[in-house]
Amino acid sequence: MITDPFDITSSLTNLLTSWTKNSDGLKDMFKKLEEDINSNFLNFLQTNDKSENKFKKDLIKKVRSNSKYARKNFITIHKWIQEFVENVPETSDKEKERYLFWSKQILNAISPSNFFWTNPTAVQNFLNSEGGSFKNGIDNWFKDYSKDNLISFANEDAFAVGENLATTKGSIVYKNDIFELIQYESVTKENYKVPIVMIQPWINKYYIFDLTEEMSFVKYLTEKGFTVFMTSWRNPDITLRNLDFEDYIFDGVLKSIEIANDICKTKKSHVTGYCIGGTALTALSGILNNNKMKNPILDISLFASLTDFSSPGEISFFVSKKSIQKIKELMEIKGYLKSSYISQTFRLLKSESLIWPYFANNYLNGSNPPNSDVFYWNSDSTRLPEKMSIFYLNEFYLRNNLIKSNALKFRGFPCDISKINQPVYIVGAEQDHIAPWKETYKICDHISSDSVFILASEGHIAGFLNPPSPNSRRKYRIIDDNNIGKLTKDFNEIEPNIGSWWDHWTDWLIEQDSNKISSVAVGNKKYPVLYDAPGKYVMG
Amino acid sequence: MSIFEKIVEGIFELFPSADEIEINDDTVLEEIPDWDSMASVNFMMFLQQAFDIQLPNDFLHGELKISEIVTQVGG
Repeated sequence: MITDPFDITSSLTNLLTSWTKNSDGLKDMFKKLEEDINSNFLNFLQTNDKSENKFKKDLIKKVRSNSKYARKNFITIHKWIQEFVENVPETSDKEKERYLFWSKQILNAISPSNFFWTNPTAVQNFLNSEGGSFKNGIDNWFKDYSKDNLISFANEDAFAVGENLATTKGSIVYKNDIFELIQYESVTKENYKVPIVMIQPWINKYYIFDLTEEMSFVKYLTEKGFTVFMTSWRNPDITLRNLDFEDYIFDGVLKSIEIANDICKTKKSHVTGYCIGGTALTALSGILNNNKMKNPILDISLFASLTDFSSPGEISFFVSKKSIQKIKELMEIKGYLKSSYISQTFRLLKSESLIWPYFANNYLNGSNPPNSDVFYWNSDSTRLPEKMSIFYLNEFYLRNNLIKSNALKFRGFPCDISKINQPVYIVGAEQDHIAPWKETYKICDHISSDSVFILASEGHIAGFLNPPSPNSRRKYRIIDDNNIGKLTKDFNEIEPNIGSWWDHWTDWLIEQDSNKISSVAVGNKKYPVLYDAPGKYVMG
Repeated sequence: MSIFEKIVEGIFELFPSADEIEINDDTVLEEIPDWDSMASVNFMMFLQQAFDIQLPNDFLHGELKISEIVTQVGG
């Protein structure tokens, strides 16, 4: 618990909150500050040198030299702190990792680039714009503060869902309280008989696999001749506070597969799950196989999905009995976990890339956040329902119960993932900090069915947005019985393939069933078209 | 300030630990401490803003040399 005996935090927060009630007055206050700073700047120029250009050149030279000196010291401090933590006596490795993680947060915050006089670009922009960048920086900060107090890392004016993102043609063919099911239009005369059902994570919006046209996974799959279905989850409000993980499994994942099979007149689908979507899919498979229930799944593909949560990486520093209690308290009134809380947690895992460069860019340099489709999607995060959040954190992260036979029951059905007997295709990404690849691989230790493991380059998002391109220098490694030993020692010894793994994956799907049929229409009598994709839930 | 110098300055601002290595024409991006796919998005943002250009999505990768970036940006 943070000690604040003088109540400094609430005092400053109240100051700002009170001002937001008088936004015109607040704007006037900032305008006055900007004018005063500009005036100071002009006076400063006049009193320092007659030649403005010479003064600017000398100043920037001095700033560059100072920032170089600051960086040298920063590196010295960085190394010293690392040594200080690593050599702390009588401390477990796990505790040391925790110390290192939080020390890293402080180090990232005090990097010289985060301070005006040790950031040459910020000073240069200030001089070039005669103080205009300062005004822009203040404006950017004010916009962020008024919204959700998170630093923007995408230009929100550059993108709109349904206009330049999530534009692959399709329709909503089913809707309930928690999700809409999108069926995409076929673009080939013949399609593979078995459709692909994509179970998307509900921690962000579904359209990560349908960003801009050139990056769209869905577009790639429809062009390959697959009929594709995708879940678009509802952003929960207080009415869904009692929505549990099992509701996502049965009313979301299972329902999607049943509808896809009905529309495509097939008994089984290829089913993929990304991130938490894959965890839910694994749980469903563990239930269906364990209870000898009718199984509508032909094969399973898991992208960046955790099943074994024994070492989930740095996110574990946020999960403890105490923190779960705190999270419970946070959700007590509204019945959900705020999206800004989730976003901030994920950003802290990579604060050197996801927080501080944007602090410098938006506030110090006074520049606009970039036009990045990926970061726009990343900013478009969702809330999580109370009951599901507590279950997920307790049963998976804290107790690691999904890998234990019959330790979990969903709607009364015991789950045992060791009973999964469908072929499984698993993709982990080398730099994934949310679902570390070594953890995503561990499912292979718990199932006995045929499995393929792909180790992709890049991270949790870029590793999966991987359209084939002649210029692509991305890599992926195929892990099989012959090289499995090298994986755990040093995966660099395994020869990589250059390019995208998407083609390898679709070849694998075709191996499971290569039958083709005339392309199926969108929707059917039982599940008619309700409205066009991207639908309504994605806008909420 | 040359293109090379401007790129190096951007690297120092985005990767404070980059001072640990010597950056020259042959330095490849993955040698930079803390280089990863998220960092590459930020570096792309820097290049596009600093040089007012558009770069192809798959331009940046870990094995790209500084000299190749200079050529692309300068061209």
